[in-house]
Amino acid sequence: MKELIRFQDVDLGYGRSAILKNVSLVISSGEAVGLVGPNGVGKTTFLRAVLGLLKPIAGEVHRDRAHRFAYVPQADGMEFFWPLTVRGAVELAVRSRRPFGRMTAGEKAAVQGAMEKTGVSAIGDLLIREASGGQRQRTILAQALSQEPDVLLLDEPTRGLDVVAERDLLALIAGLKYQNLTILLVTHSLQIPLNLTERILLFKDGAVIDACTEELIQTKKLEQIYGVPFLHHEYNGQRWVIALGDKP
Amino acid sequence: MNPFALPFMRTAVAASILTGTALSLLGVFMTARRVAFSGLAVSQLAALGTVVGVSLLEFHLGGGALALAFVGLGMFLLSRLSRTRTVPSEAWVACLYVLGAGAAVLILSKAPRGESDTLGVFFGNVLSLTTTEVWESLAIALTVVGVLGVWLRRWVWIFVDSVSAEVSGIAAERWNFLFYALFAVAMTMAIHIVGVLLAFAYLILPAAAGFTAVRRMRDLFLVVPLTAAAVTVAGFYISFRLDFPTGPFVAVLLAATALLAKGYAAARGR
Repeated sequence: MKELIRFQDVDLGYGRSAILKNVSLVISSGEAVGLVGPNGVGKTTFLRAVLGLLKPIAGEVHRDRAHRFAYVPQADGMEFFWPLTVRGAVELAVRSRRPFGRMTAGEKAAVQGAMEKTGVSAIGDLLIREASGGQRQRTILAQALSQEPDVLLLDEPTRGLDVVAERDLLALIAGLKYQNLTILLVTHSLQIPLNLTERILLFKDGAVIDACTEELIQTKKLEQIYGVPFLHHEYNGQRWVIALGDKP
Repeated sequence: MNPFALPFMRTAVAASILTGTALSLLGVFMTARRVAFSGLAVSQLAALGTVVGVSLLEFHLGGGALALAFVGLGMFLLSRLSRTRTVPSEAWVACLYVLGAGAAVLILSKAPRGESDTLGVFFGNVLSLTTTEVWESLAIALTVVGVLGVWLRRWVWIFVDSVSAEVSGIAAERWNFLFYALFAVAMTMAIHIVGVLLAFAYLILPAAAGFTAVRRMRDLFLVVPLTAAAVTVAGFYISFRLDFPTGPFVAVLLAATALLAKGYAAARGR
């Protein structure tokens, strides 16, 4: 596997105050990596550094620029005043490449393929401001896939979705793992990467703990990291961990 | 009598339509980014700059540059102040609005023709426009249509989701800078041509009507400038007939059009 992103002794933050300290890790092509932690611990800061939108306070971040990156933001953080149809929203990224929004035949096929893959081709004429949360998130995912990226960065893609829409979206993302895509998935929930990614970066107290998903399941590492007991459960190939507390 | 048979009316309506076209297209993006009131604050600072500039120099002899400098300063201050987390950014927008409007009135109060100058800056005097203003407004309109039109999808993407655009290799910050520079120049010129009230009305109200009533992207960028132009022609005609001041009348008609668009959309269940 080829090295895509390297963090070498990196401190990240805004101004002079570091949110994350002394981060060193490598992400290689074809990996699926979950970035897990509660709000405000530096997941988005880390992602911004990966994207090249934030310079480190210390250390170095290397990103292989030969690879094409695409970003999937949270749908509820976007502006949907525009009278964009689902198809129009998917096409935006590709149409932005040339004057007057011209697309090549290959790009048109990529847009159509992305829409079919994400299940939004049937709602192509629906205004995105009238679409459901799940449909919007699929549209944004289709927009990213239409760019035929090598690396897909997903920022809390299931936030605000109902349980069925969340399940369907995660199944869709799981399918992408097998298409040579490198996936970085930011989430506050441990359940999602446990079932989707083979590697998890846990953000805690200004540090990034790099762990293999199997190791987290098979050992007591979660207990050591969080200092509380966990219940591990597996059913029909799906995994859950639940932090146990004292009985109320 | 047909008011458009009068040469000064034709000059004024041409300058106003061209100014309205430029501002309404920029206004689509300002409205979508929810910074309409920042546009108002910047308008007032442009008015202050115009007042200071005209008190010291003629508009075409450097006063315009001073007005533009005030707009640039205002936009810089807004971008810095909106990053503070102790007070919502709207408070700083209001602060700059009050500063621009209040200081302009104070300076004009010491001018030889204070009251009429105040009315001129804030409400415009569109019937006194000359062919110079027509050429100026034509230059603004062509620049705005050219810059926005050629890369329309890219502008829309940056305004919908600048981070995704940046990740995909578009220098979104530079494009944003270009947009706001264009906005600053267009707004400064527009306030000189039609006054603060009508400039702000052109910036926001056709876009508000368009976003409310239109359901296709390609229609939005046709309907918005056409609304500005049609309301301008109607406003000039009716205000002439009823003997009302033209600039404020067109502004009121633009507001009424936006409200009618909202009513139309509500009637259709949107």
